[in-house]
Amino acid sequence: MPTSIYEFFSSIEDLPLVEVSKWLRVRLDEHLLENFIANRILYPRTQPTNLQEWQIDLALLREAVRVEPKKIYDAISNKIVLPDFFISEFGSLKPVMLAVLEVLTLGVVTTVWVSTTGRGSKQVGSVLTPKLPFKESIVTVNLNGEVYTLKTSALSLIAVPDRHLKVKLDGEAEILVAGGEFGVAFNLRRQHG
Amino acid sequence: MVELPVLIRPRVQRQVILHLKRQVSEHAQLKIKVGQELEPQDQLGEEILNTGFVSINLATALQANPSQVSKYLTRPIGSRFFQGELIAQKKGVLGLGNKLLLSPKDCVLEEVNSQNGEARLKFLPQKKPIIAGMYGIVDGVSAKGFTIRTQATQVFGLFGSGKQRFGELKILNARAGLATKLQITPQTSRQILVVGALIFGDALRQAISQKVDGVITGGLNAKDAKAICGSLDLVQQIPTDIGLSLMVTEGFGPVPIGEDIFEVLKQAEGQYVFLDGNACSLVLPLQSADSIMKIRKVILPVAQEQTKPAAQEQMLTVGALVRMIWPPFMGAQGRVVAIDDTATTLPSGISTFLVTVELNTRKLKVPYRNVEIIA
Repeated sequence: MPTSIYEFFSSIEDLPLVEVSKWLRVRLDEHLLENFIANRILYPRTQPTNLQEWQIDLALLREAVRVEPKKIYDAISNKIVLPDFFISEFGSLKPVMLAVLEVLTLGVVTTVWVSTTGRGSKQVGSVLTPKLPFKESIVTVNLNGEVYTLKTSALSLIAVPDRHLKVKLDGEAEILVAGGEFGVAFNLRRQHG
Repeated sequence: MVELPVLIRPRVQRQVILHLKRQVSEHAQLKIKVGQELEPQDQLGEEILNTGFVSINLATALQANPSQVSKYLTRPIGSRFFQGELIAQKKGVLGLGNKLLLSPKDCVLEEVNSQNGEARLKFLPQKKPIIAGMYGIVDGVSAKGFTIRTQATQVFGLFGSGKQRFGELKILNARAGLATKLQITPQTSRQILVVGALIFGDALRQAISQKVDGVITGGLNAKDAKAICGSLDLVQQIPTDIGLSLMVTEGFGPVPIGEDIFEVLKQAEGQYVFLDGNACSLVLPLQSADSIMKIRKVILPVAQEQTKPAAQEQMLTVGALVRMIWPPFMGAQGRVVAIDDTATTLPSGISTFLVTVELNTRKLKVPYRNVEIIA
């Protein structure tokens, strides 16, 4: 059973280094990055000892999801299912979700699940990606009676552990979504593709 | 106490009785039988090696018109030439500016192309004696080779390339050294070189051209490894042979050869050893004549395939001898002197248990998953 993204995704060895590098704040020499990735594949259980190594892992996660989206995203049922070791590998669910949301093209309502070997899956939140032309730079969201003001050019995450939520955007019909450990993400950025 | 599972990977098996399968070429003539006891200097037969051919442009070598080169041959097409013999000669004016072409090896002049002036030389097959190289007992003989039961130290690497080769072990650099092209000289021909932490791609190519038999290195650049082995994923790698046998012991990039392996190699310098890159195995037969007595007492099933022992999980304990499999100090070895009871949150946000490892020159705290136990 895989215990690391380096065992989970089969494409990591072939990811274009120039695409991985684009996600990094501090650029590495190509051959250093190549050796780093190779050693991660060779020793997939190892853990990053500093922030730069962690950011490289996150960059590789983004690119691997971009190339193999079906490994975690089912477009028919609009579900993102993450293996639980993703969370221990990156420290928490939030950086993993924010990374994958940067590369996935989602439906309007996507549920987010975490799967544990032998114990099934648990829903931990939802992602809303309204396909609406927002005219203003902000939009008001009503979440179970609480009002939030969100930027229309951004990805916003509201931590809501409630399992059942009523969500209403400005002038739109109310919908039901699930919260959880992750909460509800509002992906109001302009979508490509 | 917290349970921390880590991998334990066999790297060195000292003075074990094992089967060494020696492969021979199709045209080999073996003169051994099952049950025969061997000494290192015993000749077991002969291999006939077809060493190929070479094309030489006579027009360029003699500075002559391609259609005219045949008249400068010293003997007709189809003749045999020994190494150093004169194949063709074009005399200059008043004895000055003579152009000579000497035979590079024993060969037959197969043909000369009058359109482009190219001469094709087919090298004569060479007979190479098959030497035992070890004390042992023959347990099996077949058309493809033979199996010797022997006592040897076996070293396992992580990945490699190349068929089984037999050569003199030579330490080229210290554990952390870097092998460059300049170090690969004609003197390194037919040797198995221990190069240190890394061998550069151009040095590897030089080693192939200088007919080095094998290279043992701590690390190899990922780009070179992928070109040689086909994949960085050990499960997906395919057996290959680039003209020498290569074994990598630690990882990718410059990583010093582990102390456990390097000590064994240092002690065996000058001995004849067997390196199988595709199997990631180096066999160092015992040179003591007394070993034959122990070999006689141990019977091994002949059909048993010698496979590399797999890494297994074991709980990490204080006192365990470990090696670092991630920077800092990747490749270094030391003992676990302390294991934290509570998890630590690293700067990345990852929560893990840290262990204190005492190396030769320092102590450091690392995530427990960044070490492997040395068997």
